[in-house]
Amino acid sequence: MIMAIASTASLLLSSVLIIIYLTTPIYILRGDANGYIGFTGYYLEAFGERLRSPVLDSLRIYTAPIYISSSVALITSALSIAKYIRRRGFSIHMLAMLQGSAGILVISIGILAALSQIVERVLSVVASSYSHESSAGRIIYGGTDVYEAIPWILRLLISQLPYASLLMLTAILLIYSFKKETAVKI
Amino acid sequence: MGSLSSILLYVLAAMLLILSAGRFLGLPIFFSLVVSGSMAPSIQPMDLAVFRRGNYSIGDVVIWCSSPMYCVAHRVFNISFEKGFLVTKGDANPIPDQPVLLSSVRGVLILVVPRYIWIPLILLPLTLYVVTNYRRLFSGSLWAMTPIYMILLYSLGSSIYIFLIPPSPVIIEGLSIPSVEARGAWISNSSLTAELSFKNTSIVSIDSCIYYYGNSSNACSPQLLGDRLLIEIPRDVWRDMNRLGISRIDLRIVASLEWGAKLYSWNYTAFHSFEMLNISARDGVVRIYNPNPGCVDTNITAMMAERAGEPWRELRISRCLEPGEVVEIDLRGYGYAFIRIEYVLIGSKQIIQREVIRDHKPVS
Repeated sequence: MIMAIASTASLLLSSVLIIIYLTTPIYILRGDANGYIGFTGYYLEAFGERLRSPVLDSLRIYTAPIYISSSVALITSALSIAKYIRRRGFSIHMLAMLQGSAGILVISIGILAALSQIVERVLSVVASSYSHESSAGRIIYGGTDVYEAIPWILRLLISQLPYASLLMLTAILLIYSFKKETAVKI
Repeated sequence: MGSLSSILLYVLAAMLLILSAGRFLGLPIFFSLVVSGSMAPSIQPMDLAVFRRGNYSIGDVVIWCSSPMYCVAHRVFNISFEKGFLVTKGDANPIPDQPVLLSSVRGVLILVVPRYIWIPLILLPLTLYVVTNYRRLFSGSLWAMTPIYMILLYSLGSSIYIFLIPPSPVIIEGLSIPSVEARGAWISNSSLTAELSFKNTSIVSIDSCIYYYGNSSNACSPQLLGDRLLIEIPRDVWRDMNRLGISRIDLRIVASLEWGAKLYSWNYTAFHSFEMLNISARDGVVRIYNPNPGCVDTNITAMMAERAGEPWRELRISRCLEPGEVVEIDLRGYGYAFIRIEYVLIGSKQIIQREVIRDHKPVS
């Protein structure tokens, strides 16, 4: 039972963290380029001009499946906890639903990792050195400092919690089915 | 009510599935979800664009695909039927796309369903389904698992889609890196002028300025006049350059630019050709004019006599002729007069000798 509660709580926490991760800026830029980059929004400017990135514009759409899956995981785990508090137990269907939600979140983590790569590619262009040589000489810019807006511990939790939930829920369901089969035999 | 909403939901889901796969299935009409703002304001991200297969012309919005998964819906900018390609351009993009083959065009836009219309249209039956099937969904029946696994499949499909998108180049629109270009350097009067052109920046201050000639260097304090740097070269430097036979000056600056940038300049080189002294003798008066920006070391020797056979009298002037200075030597009143002018021009000695008066008459 403790394992079921822990996995549900972990699923709830990871879905909340993923939603926070999606809605808040992940990188903050200061220097030649200023602004922030997030999965669902960005604001960038350099040398007094607003910058636009078609890739980052598309990212907003690509995060839609992650929003949906983490919302489903959030609702499922919250409802399961509510039901547990009311009835003091988890039904096998609830556990199966939670397992499905955890599976969706694991896939979402994969998508998120792919999208992070896209964000980092844009970041490497925007935050690159603008120093260059021209016919007048060497023009040196101060550069851009990039700060991670999300603490590393949060990133670690986001990437690991769904796996932990999935593993625990699978283990619970396996134990349950084993017990049930034994009971039938008896 | 519950079964009706279920049927409606499944019919809607099937229709959406077929229409969204229409571009691969070869259906005459299909739709595609817009993911970028390149066609703004006419088509916004998340709008549904409906296409039909058929002919198109310049100005139409077409969808072309470079891979089964990567498609672009942009306006036709140019078509070359003979060469078999067309060029498209996003309304919000500053430049047209790369030319694509005519065979890659899948359809032409016939309708745009804005996101504020189609999203509620999808959500409404979905909400209706959840509300009417609430008990079944959470009562432990097999139905409960259906939405979860539908979303699981959707997530899987989305991830496959995202991983299949070919890596496109990262384009940053609006990025204009401030820069400075050198236009040239020249010498006029006694000043060195360097002209620069600025793009989205300007000089805030000059941190250091040095000019070089031969093996010598001097610090300078340039005047900034618009896009030009004006450096006054002292007369002594010109004098040195002339004496040493140097005609080249190199300027180097370190300047602070806007946006916190620094310019470490290359050598801005200017050449100066020193001119010979302008010497004229008219009616017994010798005029010597220095047209150079620096003073020229000059020795003038005039030899005069009243009559033939008389010993010569000498007049010696040794000085550095200032720039623009005119020296006049009046030899009128003598029966015979010669002048000898020695000066240094670009490191080499120049000697000019001239008979000015002979037998009381000026020699032309």
